[in-house]
Amino acid sequence: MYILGIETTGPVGSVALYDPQTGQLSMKRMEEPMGHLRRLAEMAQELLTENGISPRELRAVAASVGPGSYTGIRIGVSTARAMAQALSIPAVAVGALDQFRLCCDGTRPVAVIFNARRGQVYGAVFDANGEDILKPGPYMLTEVLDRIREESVRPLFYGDGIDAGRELLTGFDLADKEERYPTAALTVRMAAEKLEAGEIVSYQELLPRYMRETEAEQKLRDGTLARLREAKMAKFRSR
Amino acid sequence: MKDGKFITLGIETSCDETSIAVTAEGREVLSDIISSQIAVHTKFGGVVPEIASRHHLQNINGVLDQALSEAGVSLADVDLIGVTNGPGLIGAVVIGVATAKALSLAAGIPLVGVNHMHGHVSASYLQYPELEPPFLALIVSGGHTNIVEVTDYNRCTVLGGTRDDAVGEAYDKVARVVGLGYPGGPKVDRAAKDGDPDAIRFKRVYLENGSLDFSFSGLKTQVLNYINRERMAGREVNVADLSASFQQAMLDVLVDKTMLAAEQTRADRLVTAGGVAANSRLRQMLAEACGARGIRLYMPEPVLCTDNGAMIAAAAYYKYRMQGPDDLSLDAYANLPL
Repeated sequence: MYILGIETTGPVGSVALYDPQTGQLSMKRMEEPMGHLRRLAEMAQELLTENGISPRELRAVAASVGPGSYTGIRIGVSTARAMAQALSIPAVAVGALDQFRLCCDGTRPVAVIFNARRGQVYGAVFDANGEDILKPGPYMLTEVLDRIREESVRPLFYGDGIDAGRELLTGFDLADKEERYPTAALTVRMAAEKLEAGEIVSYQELLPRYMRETEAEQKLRDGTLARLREAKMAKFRSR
Repeated sequence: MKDGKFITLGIETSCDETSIAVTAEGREVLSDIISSQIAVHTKFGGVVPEIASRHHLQNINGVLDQALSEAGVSLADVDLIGVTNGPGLIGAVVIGVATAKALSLAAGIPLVGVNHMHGHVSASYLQYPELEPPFLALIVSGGHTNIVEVTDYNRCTVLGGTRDDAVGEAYDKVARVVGLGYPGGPKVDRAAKDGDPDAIRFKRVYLENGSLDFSFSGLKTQVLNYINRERMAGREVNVADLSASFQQAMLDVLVDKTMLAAEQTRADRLVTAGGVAANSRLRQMLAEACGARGIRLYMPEPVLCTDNGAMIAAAAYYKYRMQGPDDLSLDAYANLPL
């Protein structure tokens, strides 16, 4: 029985098919960045066809649910939800940062940082056994680095936050470019562990993990929205 | 197929309505579930695209379940999936398209992408079983103001359009400045019922002689200037009169130009489409104007004018018959020409 894994939270999307019994894993990556919507379903179909699998033979569908690009997350999660619904199979939610726990090989810690702009990252630091040193969440990059210094650990860095935070990261160990970004291979392997542990959800419960409220909600809460609206009306009135 | 009938699923998520419908043989509506987000966006004073996208994702699969069960069909009975793939709020359109493609892949059902505006025109096929192209259509919504000649199913020639604000946009902006809030169209329409359309004289903008194009931004400015003048003079603005007068100025131009288009093209049938076609005053004015000229008017029920999945299913059915399916590389577009 196969698991289909979807990872579209970063600039390069991918989809993978995994048979936990045999350990057989095949993956397809998008050639062009931001082609998530156009390519995802097509690539999933190609993957199934090339492996001689019908969608009916899928046991579960897994999606990397974020954090990451909001639209990217939604493309992956919507696709997984609809597939799980149509096939009456369970879904598995895999955290985009969490899946890097699989990179912890028992010898060294792992830090994952996704670029969230303006010095911010979605980040996490895991020890050599994949346990939290800093739990997945939204942070300033400097906060993540401070924590690493406090703990006196020497992690290997992953994620596209490396590319954006280069100056702050001199002297740190960075994963090779080919290994650096999230892939559906990680998603589907993590999903297999979760499936084994019974951590499944229904298609309705498979939801994005944005880790941030929208700008509009922030502005509504802190009163900025009301002030902006008032200023706009005042401008109208003073015409 | 269900009872020998061709079953189409129509999916619409281009703005703030998550809607899925099931139709039989193209025109018979078996279900049309509309999950509106109006309540969600009201506190922001308008549609917030990121929030709309988040809600579409949460709602769409439940809406699908409801649409199938109300129609008494299962996904296995569905012969075709039609989905709006533009124009619209891109993040919102994406949810419908991703869902439609995943259903198509998982259940092996053919897929077609539908232009949202062709969907609006196709709403009339649901209400009028005998209606077939060609005909003249007035498409009025939050994003569009067009007079088109519908030459065939999902095909049309644009005769005129707006050069600045769409009708629905003008409604929204005016509703905001007079404090009626979102959604502007229905709120102005309601307020106008208690007002005098001749109370305030706003200039009607007709552009060049014989032009079928529109410009509504000047009218919006006139309304703002009027409000300022009244406030400066310390007078209370009568919202009902203002709503009625503004609406009349806009609809006069809309109806006159539509009648001019009918004259120019010798059309004897007019179809109205789009959210603003639900406006009660516009419906009344078009009925009178068409009645006086012997033009047969096809005006779908308000629920079919606003965004809904059934109109997308209707458009999809004809597109599929004429052009066959799209493949799984179907993309979403913020802008998609008519």
